[in-house]
Amino acid sequence: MRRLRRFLRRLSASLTRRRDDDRLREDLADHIALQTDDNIRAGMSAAEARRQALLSVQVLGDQLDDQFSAVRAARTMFVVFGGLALLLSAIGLYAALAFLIGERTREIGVRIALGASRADVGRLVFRRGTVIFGGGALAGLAACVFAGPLLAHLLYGVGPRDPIALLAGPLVLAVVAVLAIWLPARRAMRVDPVAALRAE
Amino acid sequence: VKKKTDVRQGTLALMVLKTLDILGPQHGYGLARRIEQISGDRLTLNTGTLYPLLLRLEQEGAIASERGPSENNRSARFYHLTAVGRRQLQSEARDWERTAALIARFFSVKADDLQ
Repeated sequence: MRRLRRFLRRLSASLTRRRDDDRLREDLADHIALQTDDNIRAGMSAAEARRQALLSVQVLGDQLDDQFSAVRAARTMFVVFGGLALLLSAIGLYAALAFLIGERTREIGVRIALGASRADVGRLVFRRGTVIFGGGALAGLAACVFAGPLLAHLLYGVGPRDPIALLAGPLVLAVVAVLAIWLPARRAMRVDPVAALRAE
Repeated sequence: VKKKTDVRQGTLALMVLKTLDILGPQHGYGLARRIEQISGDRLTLNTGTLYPLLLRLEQEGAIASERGPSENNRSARFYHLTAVGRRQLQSEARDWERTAALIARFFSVKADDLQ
Protein backbone atom coordinates (compact mmCIF):
# COMPACT_ATOMS: atom_id res chain seq x y z
CA MET A 1 0.00 0.00 0.00
CA ARG A 2 2.78 2.38 0.93
CA ARG A 3 4.70 1.28 -2.15
CA LEU A 4 1.68 1.93 -4.31
CA ARG A 5 1.35 5.40 -2.83
CA ARG A 6 5.01 6.09 -3.48
CA PHE A 7 4.67 4.83 -7.03
CA LEU A 8 1.71 7.15 -7.61
CA ARG A 9 3.66 10.04 -6.14
CA ARG A 10 6.54 9.35 -8.54
CA LEU A 11 4.12 9.13 -11.43
CA SER A 12 2.63 12.48 -10.50
CA ALA A 13 6.17 13.85 -10.04
CA SER A 14 7.07 13.01 -13.62
CA LEU A 15 3.90 14.74 -14.73
CA THR A 16 4.67 17.78 -12.54
CA ARG A 17 8.09 17.99 -14.11
CA ARG A 18 6.42 18.54 -17.46
CA ARG A 19 4.29 21.31 -15.92
CA ASP A 20 7.45 22.86 -14.41
CA ASP A 21 9.10 22.82 -17.83
CA ASP A 22 6.14 24.71 -19.30
CA ARG A 23 6.36 27.24 -16.50
CA LEU A 24 10.11 27.78 -17.06
CA ARG A 25 9.53 28.20 -20.80
CA GLU A 26 6.93 30.86 -20.01
CA ASP A 27 9.33 32.59 -17.58
CA LEU A 28 12.04 32.59 -20.21
CA ALA A 29 9.70 34.10 -22.84
CA ASP A 30 8.72 36.85 -20.35
CA HIS A 31 12.38 37.46 -19.56
CA ILE A 32 13.28 37.87 -23.22
CA ALA A 33 10.33 40.22 -23.79
CA LEU A 34 11.25 42.41 -20.81
CA GLN A 35 14.91 42.44 -21.82
CA THR A 36 13.84 43.51 -25.32
CA ASP A 37 11.84 46.40 -23.84
CA ASP A 38 14.89 47.45 -21.83
CA ASN A 39 17.13 47.31 -24.88
CA ILE A 40 14.71 49.47 -26.87
CA ARG A 41 14.65 52.00 -24.04
CA ALA A 42 18.45 51.97 -24.19
CA GLY A 43 18.17 53.13 -27.79
CA MET A 44 18.37 49.96 -29.88
CA SER A 45 16.16 49.35 -32.90
CA ALA A 46 13.36 46.87 -32.27
CA ALA A 47 15.03 44.10 -34.28
CA GLU A 48 18.44 44.62 -32.66
CA ALA A 49 16.84 44.78 -29.19
CA ARG A 50 15.14 41.44 -29.74
CA ARG A 51 18.30 39.87 -31.17
CA GLN A 52 20.41 40.97 -28.20
CA ALA A 53 17.78 39.74 -25.75
CA LEU A 54 17.71 36.32 -27.40
CA LEU A 55 21.50 36.25 -27.45
CA SER A 56 21.73 36.84 -23.69
CA VAL A 57 19.73 33.67 -23.18
CA GLN A 58 21.36 31.73 -25.99
CA VAL A 59 24.79 32.21 -24.42
CA LEU A 60 23.51 30.40 -21.35
CA GLY A 61 22.50 27.49 -23.54
CA ASP A 62 26.01 27.35 -24.96
CA GLN A 63 27.47 27.41 -21.45
CA LEU A 64 25.33 24.47 -20.47
CA ASP A 65 26.32 22.66 -23.66
CA ASP A 66 29.97 22.90 -22.63
CA GLN A 67 29.29 21.81 -19.08
CA PHE A 68 27.21 18.86 -20.10
CA SER A 69 29.17 17.56 -23.09
CA ALA A 70 30.67 14.69 -21.07
CA VAL A 71 27.30 13.80 -19.63
CA ARG A 72 25.78 13.96 -23.08
CA ALA A 73 28.44 11.61 -24.44
CA ALA A 74 27.70 9.18 -21.61
CA ARG A 75 24.00 9.52 -22.33
CA THR A 76 24.48 8.74 -26.02
CA MET A 77 26.35 5.63 -24.97
CA PHE A 78 23.50 4.69 -22.64
CA VAL A 79 20.98 5.16 -25.40
CA VAL A 80 23.00 3.03 -27.86
CA PHE A 81 23.76 0.23 -25.42
CA GLY A 82 20.30 0.38 -23.86
CA GLY A 83 18.71 0.18 -27.29
CA LEU A 84 20.99 -2.71 -28.20
CA ALA A 85 20.12 -4.51 -24.97
CA LEU A 86 16.41 -4.00 -25.60
CA LEU A 87 16.78 -5.31 -29.16
CA LEU A 88 18.76 -8.36 -28.00
CA SER A 89 16.27 -9.18 -25.27
CA ALA A 90 13.42 -8.78 -27.77
CA ILE A 91 15.12 -11.24 -30.16
CA GLY A 92 15.96 -13.61 -27.31
CA LEU A 93 12.46 -13.45 -25.90
CA TYR A 94 10.92 -14.09 -29.29
CA ALA A 95 13.22 -17.05 -29.94
CA ALA A 96 12.64 -18.59 -26.52
CA LEU A 97 8.86 -18.29 -26.58
CA ALA A 98 8.55 -19.39 -30.18
CA PHE A 99 10.79 -22.39 -29.47
CA LEU A 100 8.88 -23.39 -26.33
CA ILE A 101 5.59 -23.33 -28.16
CA GLY A 102 6.97 -24.88 -31.37
CA GLU A 103 8.29 -27.74 -29.28
CA ARG A 104 4.79 -28.46 -28.04
CA THR A 105 3.17 -28.52 -31.47
CA ARG A 106 2.78 -32.29 -31.33
CA GLU A 107 1.36 -32.25 -27.81
CA ILE A 108 -1.09 -29.62 -28.93
CA GLY A 109 -2.11 -31.81 -31.85
CA VAL A 110 -2.79 -34.63 -29.43
CA ARG A 111 -4.85 -32.37 -27.22
CA ILE A 112 -6.93 -31.28 -30.20
CA ALA A 113 -7.35 -34.90 -31.26
CA LEU A 114 -8.60 -35.69 -27.76
CA GLY A 115 -11.21 -32.97 -28.01
CA ALA A 116 -9.58 -29.76 -26.81
CA SER A 117 -11.02 -26.73 -28.58
CA ARG A 118 -8.76 -24.24 -30.39
CA ALA A 119 -9.66 -21.69 -27.70
CA ASP A 120 -8.49 -24.15 -25.00
CA VAL A 121 -5.17 -24.56 -26.77
CA GLY A 122 -4.84 -20.82 -27.24
CA ARG A 123 -5.48 -20.22 -23.54
CA LEU A 124 -2.95 -22.90 -22.57
CA VAL A 125 -0.24 -21.43 -24.75
CA PHE A 126 -0.93 -17.87 -23.65
CA ARG A 127 -0.95 -18.75 -19.97
CA ARG A 128 2.42 -20.46 -20.31
CA GLY A 129 3.90 -17.52 -22.24
CA THR A 130 2.54 -14.99 -19.78
CA VAL A 131 4.08 -16.82 -16.83
CA ILE A 132 7.48 -16.88 -18.53
CA PHE A 133 7.30 -13.26 -19.64
CA GLY A 134 5.86 -12.04 -16.32
CA GLY A 135 8.61 -13.79 -14.35
CA GLY A 136 11.29 -12.26 -16.54
CA ALA A 137 9.75 -8.79 -16.44
CA LEU A 138 9.42 -8.86 -12.64
CA ALA A 139 13.03 -10.05 -12.21
CA GLY A 140 14.20 -7.33 -14.61
CA LEU A 141 12.18 -4.62 -12.87
CA ALA A 142 13.55 -5.69 -9.49
CA ALA A 143 17.10 -5.51 -10.87
CA CYS A 144 16.36 -2.03 -12.28
CA VAL A 145 15.02 -0.78 -8.98
CA PHE A 146 18.16 -1.98 -7.19
CA ALA A 147 20.71 -1.07 -9.87
CA GLY A 148 19.13 2.23 -10.98
CA PRO A 149 20.46 4.33 -8.07
CA LEU A 150 24.01 3.21 -8.95
CA LEU A 151 23.90 5.48 -11.98
CA ALA A 152 21.74 8.18 -10.46
CA HIS A 153 24.63 10.66 -10.80
CA LEU A 154 24.49 10.29 -14.59
CA LEU A 155 20.75 10.89 -14.87
CA TYR A 156 19.42 14.37 -15.54
CA GLY A 157 15.78 15.27 -15.58
CA VAL A 158 14.80 11.69 -14.74
CA GLY A 159 15.02 9.86 -11.43
CA PRO A 160 16.72 6.46 -11.08
CA ARG A 161 13.28 4.98 -10.46
CA ASP A 162 11.29 7.06 -12.89
CA PRO A 163 8.02 5.14 -13.39
CA ILE A 164 7.65 5.98 -17.06
CA ALA A 165 11.22 4.91 -17.85
CA LEU A 166 10.81 1.75 -15.78
CA LEU A 167 7.57 0.78 -17.51
CA ALA A 168 8.64 1.56 -21.08
CA GLY A 169 11.09 -1.37 -21.35
CA PRO A 170 8.71 -4.09 -20.13
CA LEU A 171 5.96 -2.60 -22.28
CA VAL A 172 8.02 -2.96 -25.46
CA LEU A 173 8.95 -6.50 -24.46
CA ALA A 174 5.30 -7.27 -23.68
CA VAL A 175 4.39 -6.39 -27.27
CA VAL A 176 7.21 -8.65 -28.47
CA ALA A 177 6.02 -11.42 -26.12
CA VAL A 178 2.46 -11.22 -27.41
CA LEU A 179 3.74 -11.53 -30.99
CA ALA A 180 6.14 -14.31 -30.03
CA ILE A 181 3.32 -16.28 -28.45
CA TRP A 182 0.62 -15.43 -30.92
CA LEU A 183 2.42 -16.38 -34.16
CA PRO A 184 3.50 -19.93 -33.16
CA ALA A 185 0.27 -20.39 -31.18
CA ARG A 186 -1.74 -19.73 -34.32
CA ARG A 187 0.33 -22.31 -36.13
CA ALA A 188 -0.10 -24.77 -33.25
CA MET A 189 -3.87 -24.32 -33.28
CA ARG A 190 -3.97 -25.22 -36.97
CA VAL A 191 -2.09 -28.47 -36.40
CA ASP A 192 -3.80 -31.36 -38.15
CA PRO A 193 -4.58 -33.73 -35.26
CA VAL A 194 -4.27 -36.77 -37.54
CA ALA A 195 -0.78 -35.80 -38.64
CA ALA A 196 0.21 -35.14 -35.04
CA LEU A 197 -1.03 -38.54 -33.93
CA ARG A 198 0.59 -40.37 -36.80
CA ALA A 199 3.93 -38.78 -35.90
CA GLU A 200 3.52 -40.02 -32.33
CA VAL B 1 37.06 45.96 -15.95
CA LYS B 2 35.58 44.66 -12.76
CA LYS B 3 35.74 40.90 -12.42
CA LYS B 4 32.30 39.33 -12.51
CA THR B 5 31.71 36.48 -10.13
CA ASP B 6 29.25 33.70 -10.37
CA VAL B 7 26.77 33.49 -7.55
CA ARG B 8 27.97 31.17 -4.86
CA GLN B 9 25.78 28.12 -4.41
CA GLY B 10 23.03 28.62 -1.87
CA THR B 11 23.42 32.37 -1.52
CA LEU B 12 21.18 33.33 -4.43
CA ALA B 13 18.03 32.20 -2.61
CA LEU B 14 18.90 34.52 0.25
CA MET B 15 19.54 37.40 -2.18
CA VAL B 16 16.19 36.79 -3.87
CA LEU B 17 14.29 36.73 -0.57
CA LYS B 18 16.02 39.85 0.73
CA THR B 19 15.48 41.77 -2.51
CA LEU B 20 11.78 40.89 -2.49
CA ASP B 21 11.65 41.90 1.17
CA ILE B 22 13.05 45.36 0.47
CA LEU B 23 11.51 46.15 -2.89
CA GLY B 24 8.17 44.34 -2.77
CA PRO B 25 6.74 42.36 -5.72
CA GLN B 26 9.10 42.01 -8.69
CA HIS B 27 9.06 40.08 -11.92
CA GLY B 28 11.93 37.68 -12.58
CA TYR B 29 13.66 39.99 -15.02
CA GLY B 30 13.46 42.95 -12.64
CA LEU B 31 14.70 40.76 -9.82
CA ALA B 32 17.74 39.72 -11.87
CA ARG B 33 18.54 43.34 -12.74
CA ARG B 34 18.05 44.46 -9.11
CA ILE B 35 20.30 41.75 -7.73
CA GLU B 36 23.01 42.70 -10.21
CA GLN B 37 22.52 46.35 -9.28
CA ILE B 38 22.71 45.72 -5.53
CA SER B 39 25.88 43.68 -6.03
CA GLY B 40 27.44 46.76 -7.68
CA ASP B 41 27.43 44.79 -10.94
CA ARG B 42 29.84 42.27 -9.50
CA LEU B 43 27.34 39.48 -10.10
CA THR B 44 25.84 38.25 -13.33
CA LEU B 45 22.77 36.11 -13.05
CA ASN B 46 21.95 33.23 -15.34
CA THR B 47 18.34 32.91 -16.41
CA GLY B 48 18.94 29.18 -16.16
CA THR B 49 19.76 29.54 -12.47
CA LEU B 50 17.27 32.20 -11.45
CA TYR B 51 13.99 30.80 -12.78
CA PRO B 52 14.39 27.24 -11.49
CA LEU B 53 15.28 28.77 -8.12
CA LEU B 54 12.15 30.96 -8.17
CA LEU B 55 10.08 27.91 -9.04
CA ARG B 56 11.62 25.94 -6.18
CA LEU B 57 11.12 28.78 -3.68
CA GLU B 58 7.50 29.02 -4.77
CA GLN B 59 6.99 25.27 -4.39
CA GLU B 60 8.53 25.50 -0.91
CA GLY B 61 6.08 28.29 -0.12
CA ALA B 62 8.67 31.00 0.56
CA ILE B 63 7.38 33.13 -2.30
CA ALA B 64 4.16 33.30 -4.30
CA SER B 65 3.49 34.69 -7.73
CA GLU B 66 0.73 35.95 -9.96
CA ARG B 67 0.71 37.40 -13.44
CA GLY B 68 0.32 41.13 -13.79
CA PRO B 69 1.22 43.98 -16.13
CA SER B 70 4.85 45.17 -16.23
CA GLU B 71 5.93 48.84 -16.30
CA ASN B 72 5.28 48.96 -20.03
CA ASN B 73 2.13 46.87 -19.88
CA ARG B 74 3.59 43.53 -20.81
CA SER B 75 2.22 40.55 -18.97
CA ALA B 76 4.79 39.08 -16.57
CA ARG B 77 4.89 36.90 -13.47
CA PHE B 78 5.34 38.94 -10.29
CA TYR B 79 6.86 37.31 -7.23
CA HIS B 80 6.29 38.39 -3.65
CA LEU B 81 7.47 37.18 -0.25
CA THR B 82 5.08 35.09 1.85
CA ALA B 83 4.96 34.93 5.66
CA VAL B 84 6.88 31.64 5.43
CA GLY B 85 9.47 33.33 3.24
CA ARG B 86 9.84 36.22 5.66
CA ARG B 87 10.50 33.81 8.53
CA GLN B 88 12.93 31.83 6.36
CA LEU B 89 14.73 35.04 5.45
CA GLN B 90 15.11 36.02 9.10
CA SER B 91 16.48 32.68 10.20
CA GLU B 92 18.80 32.35 7.19
CA ALA B 93 20.08 35.89 7.68
CA ARG B 94 20.87 35.05 11.30
CA ASP B 95 22.68 31.86 10.24
CA TRP B 96 24.61 33.72 7.59
CA GLU B 97 25.72 36.47 9.96
CA ARG B 98 26.85 33.88 12.48
CA THR B 99 28.85 32.00 9.85
CA ALA B 100 30.35 35.18 8.42
CA ALA B 101 31.39 36.40 11.88
CA LEU B 102 32.95 33.04 12.64
CA ILE B 103 34.95 32.95 9.39
CA ALA B 104 35.98 36.58 9.95
CA ARG B 105 37.55 35.59 13.28
CA PHE B 106 39.63 32.93 11.54
CA PHE B 107 40.81 35.33 8.86
CA SER B 108 41.78 38.05 11.33
CA VAL B 109 43.50 35.86 13.88
CA LYS B 110 47.25 36.31 14.36
CA ALA B 111 49.63 33.93 16.08
CA ASP B 112 50.15 36.43 18.89
CA ASP B 113 46.46 36.39 19.78
CA LEU B 114 46.68 32.72 20.68
CA GLN B 115 49.56 32.85 23.14
